[in-house]
Formats: sequence, C-alpha cells, structure tokens
Amino acid sequence: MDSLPLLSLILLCPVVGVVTLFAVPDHKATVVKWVSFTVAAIAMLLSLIMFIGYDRGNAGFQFVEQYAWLPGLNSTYHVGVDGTGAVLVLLNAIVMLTGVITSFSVQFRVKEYFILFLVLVTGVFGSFICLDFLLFFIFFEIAVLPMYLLIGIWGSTNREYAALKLTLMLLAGSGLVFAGLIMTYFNSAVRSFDFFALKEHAALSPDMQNIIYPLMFLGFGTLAAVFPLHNWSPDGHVAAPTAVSMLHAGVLMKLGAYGVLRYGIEMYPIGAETWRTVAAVMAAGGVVYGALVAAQQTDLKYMIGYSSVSHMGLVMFGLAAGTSYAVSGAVFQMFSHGIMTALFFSAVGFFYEQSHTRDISAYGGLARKAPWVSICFILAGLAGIGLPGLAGFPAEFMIFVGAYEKFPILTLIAVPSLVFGAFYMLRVLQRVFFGPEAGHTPEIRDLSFFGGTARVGLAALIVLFGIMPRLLSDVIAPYAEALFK
Amino acid sequence: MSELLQIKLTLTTVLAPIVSFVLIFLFFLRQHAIARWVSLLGITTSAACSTMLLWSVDSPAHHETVSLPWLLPGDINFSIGLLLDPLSLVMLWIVALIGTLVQMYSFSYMEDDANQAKFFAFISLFCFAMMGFTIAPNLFQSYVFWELVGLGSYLLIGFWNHLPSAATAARKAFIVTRLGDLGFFAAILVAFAGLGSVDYAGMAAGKNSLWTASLGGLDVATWTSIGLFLAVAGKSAQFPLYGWLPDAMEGPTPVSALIHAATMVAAGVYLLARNSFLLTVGSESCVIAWEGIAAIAMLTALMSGAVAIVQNDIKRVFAYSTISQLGYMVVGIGTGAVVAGMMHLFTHAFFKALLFLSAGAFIHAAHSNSIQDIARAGGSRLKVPMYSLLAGSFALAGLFPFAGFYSKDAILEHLLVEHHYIFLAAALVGVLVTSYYTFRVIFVMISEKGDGHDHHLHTGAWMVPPLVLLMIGALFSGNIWNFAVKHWFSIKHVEHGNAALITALVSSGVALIGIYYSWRVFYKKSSADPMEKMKGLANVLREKWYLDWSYDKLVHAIYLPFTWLLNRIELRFVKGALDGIGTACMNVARGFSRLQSGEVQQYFGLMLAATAVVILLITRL
Amino acid sequence: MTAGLMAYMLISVTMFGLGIYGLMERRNLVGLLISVELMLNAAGINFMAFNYYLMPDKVDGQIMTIFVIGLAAAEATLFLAIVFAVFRYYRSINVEKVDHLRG
Repeated sequence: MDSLPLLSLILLCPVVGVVTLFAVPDHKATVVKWVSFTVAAIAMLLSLIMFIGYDRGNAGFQFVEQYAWLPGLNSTYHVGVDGTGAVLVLLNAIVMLTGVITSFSVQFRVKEYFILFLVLVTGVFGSFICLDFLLFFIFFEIAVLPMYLLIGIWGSTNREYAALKLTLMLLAGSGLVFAGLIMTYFNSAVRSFDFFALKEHAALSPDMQNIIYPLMFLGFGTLAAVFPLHNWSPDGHVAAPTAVSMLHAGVLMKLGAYGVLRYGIEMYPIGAETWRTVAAVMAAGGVVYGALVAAQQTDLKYMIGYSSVSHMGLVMFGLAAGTSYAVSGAVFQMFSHGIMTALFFSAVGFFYEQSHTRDISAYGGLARKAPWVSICFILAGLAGIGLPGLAGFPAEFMIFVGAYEKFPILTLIAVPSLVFGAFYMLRVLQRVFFGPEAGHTPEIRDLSFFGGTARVGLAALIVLFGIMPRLLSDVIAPYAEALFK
Repeated sequence: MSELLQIKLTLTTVLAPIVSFVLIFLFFLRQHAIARWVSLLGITTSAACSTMLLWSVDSPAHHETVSLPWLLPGDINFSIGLLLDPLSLVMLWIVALIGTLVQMYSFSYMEDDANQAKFFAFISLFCFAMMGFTIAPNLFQSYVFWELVGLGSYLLIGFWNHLPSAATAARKAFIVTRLGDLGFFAAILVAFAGLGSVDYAGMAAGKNSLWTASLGGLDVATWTSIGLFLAVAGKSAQFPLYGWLPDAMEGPTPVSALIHAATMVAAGVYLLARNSFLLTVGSESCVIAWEGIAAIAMLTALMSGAVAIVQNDIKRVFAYSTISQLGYMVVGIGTGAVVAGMMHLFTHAFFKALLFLSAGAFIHAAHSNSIQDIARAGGSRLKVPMYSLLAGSFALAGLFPFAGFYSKDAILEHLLVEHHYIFLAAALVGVLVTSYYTFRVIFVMISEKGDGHDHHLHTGAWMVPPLVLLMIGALFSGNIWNFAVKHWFSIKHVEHGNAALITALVSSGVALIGIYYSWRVFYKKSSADPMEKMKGLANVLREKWYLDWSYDKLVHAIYLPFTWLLNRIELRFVKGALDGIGTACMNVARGFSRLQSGEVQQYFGLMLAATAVVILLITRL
Repeated sequence: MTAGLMAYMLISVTMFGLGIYGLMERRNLVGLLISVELMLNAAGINFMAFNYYLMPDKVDGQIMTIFVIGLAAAEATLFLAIVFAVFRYYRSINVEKVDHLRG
C-alpha cells in the first residue's frame, strides 16, 4: 500500500469524473448521476483506506508525494496528510458521497450541476492535501468559485444576492490570503512556497508575522464564518441547493478553519500568539451570537446557518486558544460539525423538495409521518447541542477544557451557548417533529431506500463517533500534541 | 467474589438495558409484545446482577476502579470506567430494582398505547444511562451519563408528544436542567484546571493547597462545590430550578415513578454524596458554601411542601413532595450527614415510587389526574392501590414502623447533634406540612361518596406485584438500610444520649398533629380549610411562589427580546454594512458609467484630449 | 530640410486635420469612413515623403505604405459590413442614433 499514491488517486477521482461528464451527452441525466456516484464512491473508498492505513502513532505527514511543478518559483506538487488533513479528507469524501446521493433529485441542467459539484470537491480535496502554499491557494480558489454558479443557477430564495455576496466576501478573504502569501514569499529567507521549507526556514521576523497572521486569520476566517465576517454564510446556505449547502457548510467552511490552522497558526506561531486574544474574542463572540440569533429564525435553513456560525465559532475558539486539548477539539469539531450540518441540510432539503417550504411553523408532527428522516434530523440536532454519545460532545468538551486553561472568562462566557443551543434546537424539534400537525402540514413521505442510505449513514456516523471518539482522536491527538510541544 | 467476576457482573448490569434498547429499536419497534419482554429481560438481568454484586461486598473499604481512556488516546483524565464501592453498588441496586418493578408495572399501564415499544426502548435507554452515571469513577463520566439521563427524561416526559403540554414540559425539563448542567461543566473545568484530575479518587487525594488555591475571590473547592450544586439544583429539583419537575408529570406515570421520584432526581443527591469529600478538602469558604447549599435545600423543602397542600392533581402533590424530600436529603448531605442523606434517598426511592405507582393505578382506572375526580369515580374501592397509597403515605409522613421514619429521623438526629437548630426547626415544620398534605390526599379520597355510577374500576394484573413488593420496601427499607449501614459502610453508630429518642418522639408527634389536622379539615370537615382563611398565601401557593411566572418572564421578557434585538442588529448593521459597501461601490461605478455616452465621436474627442495630455506630459518631462 | 518635403508634410497635415475634423463632425457613418481613409492616406504620404527625401536607398517607408493601403482596404470592408448591419438594425446610419453602449 505504501507505493500507491493514495492521495493523488483520491484527488484524481473527481477530476476523472469531470472529464467523463464532459463526454456524456447532455440529456442522459441518469448516466451523469451514476458517473458522479461512482467517482464519489471510489473516492470514499480510497479515503477510507487512507484513514485506516494512517499510522496513528506518528504525528508527522504521511502518504507524502512530491513532484516538480513550477521549478522557477520553487513550487512543487507536494501532497501529504497529518492528523488534521486525514480527518478532513475523510470528511470531504463522506460529504461528497452523501451530497451526490442527495443530488439525485436535481432535474435542471444536471450535467453542468454535477460538473461544477465535482470541480468544487476537487478544489477541497486539493486544499486539504497540498503542502505547497501556492498550489493550496489555487485549489482554494477552485473550491470557492464554482459556488457562485451553483448557487446562482440552482439556488432558491434570493439566490443572485446570496451568490454575489458569498463570492465577493470569500474573494475579499482570498485577497487577504494572497497578500499574505506574497509577503511571505518575498520576505522569507527561502524563496519557496513549500510548506516545510517555509515553516522551518522562512525566518520571518516577529513584526512580519504580526502583520501577516491577521491577514491569514481574517482571510481564511471569512470562509470559516468567524464573527463578524459571517454574514455571507446563512444567506449562502439558505440560497444554495441542498447538496451544495451540505458541501458548503460541511466542508468548505472547514477549509477556512483548516487554513487558519495550517497556514496561520503553524506557519506564523509568533503572530498567532500576539493576536490570540483578539481571535479568541471574535470566536467566542460568534459562539454566543450565533446561538442567540438562531433563536429568532423562522426558516429552517437560516436556523441551521446561524447554528453553524456558533459551531464554527467553537472551532475558531479552540484554534485561538491553542492548547493541545483545544486544537484536538477544534479538529474534532470540524469533523462532527461537517457530518452534522450535512445531515441537517440533507434532511431539510428532503422536506423542501416535497413541501416547498422551510418555514418552521408550516410543519408539525413530522416524526409520525416520516420517522426515519425525523430521527436523522433529531440526532443531528441533539449532536448540535452537545449531547454525550453523539459526535458533537467530545469536540465541544475538548475545546472548552483546552480553552479554559488560556481564557477562563471567555470560556465561561461561551459555555452557556450549550443552553442557548438547546433552547432554539428543542423549540424547533418540538415544532417540526412533535406536537400536533399544523393545519397546512404538507404531505411528507419518508425516505426512499437510496436517499435513506445517505441520511441514515450520516446519522449512524454521528452516533459512531459519539460513542467511540477515539476513532478520530487517535488520529488527531498526536498531531495536536506535537504542535504545542 | 473475584474482582474480574465483579467487573463482568457490573458490565452486565449496566449494559443489559442498552442491549434491550438497541434490540427494540432495530427490530421490535412494531412488535410490542416482544419489545416489552426484551426490555423487562434486560432490566431483570441488571437487577439480578446488581443484587449479586451487592451481596459480594465483603468489606466496607471495598473500592475498585477500572477505567479506559475514552476521549483521547492515553489520556486517563477523561476516561470511561467503573467504580465499585458500597455507595455506587447500593445506588446501582436501587436503580435496577425500581427499574424492574416499574417496567413490570408498565406492562399494564401502557397496554393500550400504540407506541409502547418505543416507550420500553426509551425506558431501557434511561436505565442504562442512570446506571452508567451511578458507577462513574470520575466527574467526566458522571457528566456524560448525567446528560444522557437528561435525554432519557426528555424523551419519556415528551412520550405523548402529540400533546403540546407534554412536549413543552419535556423541553422545559431539558432546558432548565441544562441550565444547572452549566454548573457541572464549569465545575469540571475548574477542578481539572486546578487539580489536573477529575477522577474521584484523585480529587479526594488532591493536595489541600491545590484545592484552596485562590480563584476569583474564593477557592477551587468552593467554586467546584457551587458548580456541582447548580447541577444538583437542576436535576434534583432544588430552588430555583425545581419548576420543571411538577410539569414533568405530563409523562406516563411509571416514568414519574422511576425517573422523577426514585432515580434521576436522586442522581443529584448521589452526586453530592460522591463529592462530599469537598467538605474536608476546602477552606472556610467551602464549608460556608455547603451550608448555603443546605440552607437552599431547606428552603426548597418548605416552599415545595407548602405548594403541595394546594395541588389537586394527585401526581403534582407527589411531585412537590418529591422536591421537598430531595431537599431533606440535600440538607443532610450539605451538613455532612452523607449516610443519613443517602439513607433517605434509599427509602424515599421505595415509598415514593410506591406512591406514584399507586397514583398511576388510580389514574389508569379513573382516567383522571384530579384527586376529586378519582374519588368521585370510586377510587377508594381499588383495594391494592389503596393499601399501597396508605403504606406510602405512612412512610412519607415518617411514622413508625415505616421506612421514612428511620431515614427522616436519621437526618433530624444529625441536625440536633450537630446543633443546626434552625435547620432542625425548619425540618420539623416540614414534617408537619408533609403529613398534612399527604393525608389530605387520603382523606379526600375516602370522604368522597362517589357519583353513583358504576365505573368498573380495576387494577391491571401487572400492577399488583410491583405494588406489593414496593409496599414491603416502604415498610422495611429503613431496616434493610440500617442493617446495610453496619455491614457496608462501617459507620460506627455513635449514641448521642437520647438524641435519637427525642427526635423520634418529637417528629412522630409533629407528624401525628399534621395527620390529625388533615383529618379534621378534609374528612370530618369540622375545621375550615386554612387555605380558605389565608387567601393571599393560598394564591401565592397556587402560583407556585411565582416561580413559573419568573421563568416565563425570564424567557419572554428578557431572553427572547434580547435575541430579537441581536437579530435586528444582524439584519440592520452586519448585513446592512455589507449591503452598504455594495451600494457604495455601485454608486461610484454609476458615476463613472455616465462617461459612457455611447457616442463614438465623444469617445474620439476624449481619446484625442487624453493623447494630447499624455504628449504634453511626456514632452514636459 | 528641403522645400519639397515641407510641401508633402503640409499636404499630409492638412489631410490628417481634415480627417480628424470629419471624424468629429460628420454624423454619417460613411462620412466617418471617408475621414478615417483621409487620415490613413495622410500617414501614407508622410511615409513616402520621408522615405524619398531622408533615406532614398531604403524601402521601409514604401513597405509601410503598402501595409497601410492593405489595412485600409480590409478596414473599409469591415467597416462597411458594420454599417450595413447598423443600417439594418437602426434603419439609419446616423452615429448619434447608434448609442446602445451608453452607460
């Protein structure tokens, strides 16, 4: 298995998918869907092999490959995963597969939709495995841009506005990142884009780090919806088609957090130290703010959007605190929040397709009409409020325990979000799934077998990683510990 | 018994119900008959194993811990394991035993319910969580299962969730207890940061200097105690968080008996008992904090006892009585009488479960919760429930030879011996109130003549054995405990002169006065109901000390408006700022676009002018 | 500098100026085309004159002029095609009416 270029193969899956789809005639929608499903399934399988084969005792990068790419700029095709990367690649594969399954209900311009979808996934995979700053940036852009078209063409509520806002804000963030990238390249002792070279030998002065780190934090933080740069995300989630919301909240926002971790904290440790308190205040603010604002939402997707702001705030809070517990928790939270929101959006999309409304008050008593999909949603909701035994809890617990060491007061301010979260989540669960049926409750039938595999699979993962957090933390913890040695 | 066998038995005890849960959930959600037997089999296994375990405790110092890192590799701080000592084993036994009886009872109670498989699945899940909590060797595991217990309670209170009242009560229970759980979480954070360990053994052995390290004006031990008490106030329904428990009566009655009388609400008391070592490690402020805990608990006991007087719903009477009795337990533990507090927990589990189950039998037969309605339907003709109601009431009022007599007196005696005279006086008032409202139920029941219709009331076949067994428990659990105290806890029973005799006589006398008064008012009707005279007080009591009103105000007048405000800010300022930037860009662009007149010749002129300027610039330079 | 060259330059400046004037003032698209042709030819005359008077043994200027003539032919073709298209669409070849590109 060592000789197999596993990561490149994973990256190739969606690329092959895109190329194949170009060759498929427009009107053969079924073929398009099954081709996408096949590549997604293969990527899933390869990612699983990678995750199982990952050496848990080793904190360094694994499955490393390096080929020449732009020798003039000292930029190479250099890929590899460590504790974070491995977890996030697995997450991306899961969300990709479930997203493709959820997208089987797409009817309009199917081929273009799946091509863009796979391009987006390619960008995300590439970003998670690349160890070259320039190449990472390119993949990062590939991941962001298809979103504009996916939302603008296949979206719903206010889609042009949301697509434009999302793209502009993310591009503004990329602009900051690019500025930081260029500054790093020209100020470092080595003229290289290689992650290792920069990390080990860049020898950036503390002043320089103090200037570049905020660029990185704000640039990537925009994508991670850090408060108060979060406003694009609820609008974007609401407007995006189901599978794009899944990918968007499930993986793309993690890409921002991953950027902050890898190309912020790891690369500019002094800068990160200087700006730690500011970052933590922004993050903790997001945690509480998102949970409070979510209580006022009447649209299911907006509610989830703001809960995502809160949960991503937790990730950023863990990263800002920068202890090994907190960072382990943050990476864990990226994963569990990814699965959780993917499930949320998948379920909401399921309701929306049938009833064409996402208004919370339009539903009632769904648990009796569509028990399976309801159980999935309820599990995601309970995971969202940090119930032990589900995947959200280990993450939140580690983040808070780790952060308390550095920011006791801020942590105690952020912890009540557990209650705020319970407040809005249980209210919604009661309205939508329990209680009497609303007068005009639309007819909802339960999951079909095929569509069910995605939702039930995600729900099962929430339970699995909640009961056995070690499945993930064994991979994450050595990395986090090595980071703060 | 070998250690390995003990561990295996414990694991079987704890895991049997969760196996039932998974089996029912995966396979038997539609096969009700199989589901209930699977569930009963699981919990019976637990009961059998825990009995064997209890028997195997040979020495009072018995203490065994096994734990495995659960959260992170190689990190024993946040591990899952088991702790076997007399305290946990006794608690485990109570949970398994009451759980078995309640499930058996539910065979009859839930016989007509279309979702009973789900009911049995949930109740198995709850039993698992409760037992996992019981054997927790560290604060972390306690927290994990503490939350799961809350989930079980949420699911079961809201079991009839098509009724808005049930769904709302479930939500209220979850959120109010969650509010307390914040304290638990904070206690873990503080203890872990201060001690570097959340293991009970490690914490108890923690250096005094670490515990008394100053932290925000107080010390680590004090903050931990306060945090834990907040959690206890939530789950064990103490002031000001007890408001959820009466509403939780919306759940099926077996649930009220198991969760909201015998086990989950006692979990908080158990948690305090587990952490009572904090009393010895902390400084002055910690001792004061524990006295404050006891004072709040005493207040709770009196407040809720008073409310019980004016309740007409039989389950709510017992719910308020539960809050009041939990207050007694916390008073005991808060003042240092851990064994007495646990003893009251033990006996209370039996007689309160008994009271709820007999109430359930009446409700099941008469289809009403109201005492008057049950009485009018001829509830007093139901033999077994009537006897069990009587037995439970005698135990609750603390009359010899029932179990409550021993346990309540243990606490009172402790208060007397330790010179907590204010608490003692308050506790005696509580005894008076308790016997008054308890026997009010009975006297109202037997004084009603019935409405003349024949209601064909009957007690379910599966209800009788649990009631009989619990009746035995209500009679003898005090004696069982007294035997157990000597056997397992090795607490030397110190004779304090006549303290025991004095408290026994005084408290029995007070209780008898209460019963007599209750008889005069509600049976003989020779005295007016005091509530008729004290209209103002009666109103306050009917409003439950305005506690629910305060919750309501907190949510609707403070919390929701605040979120509304934030949402306005989000829309007006955060979103508004972004839209503003967009609009500004558009306006600038619109200004420039005026130049694009579309007239070729104007463009040409501009081009010429620009060329001229450039040429000028170049030549000048 | 010889008087001959001066004369050629005067002619070419005049033609160029007339071209610019025409380009600014004419409203008729064909008129504009003629003006552009005038300017191009003014440039051609310039090339030829300089070539002849300043470096008679080279042919660079002649080549450039031939280029200009070729370009002018191509441009006229395109321009007339556009004029046709415009006329079909607007029923007019007045430039003031053709202002769809205004902001």
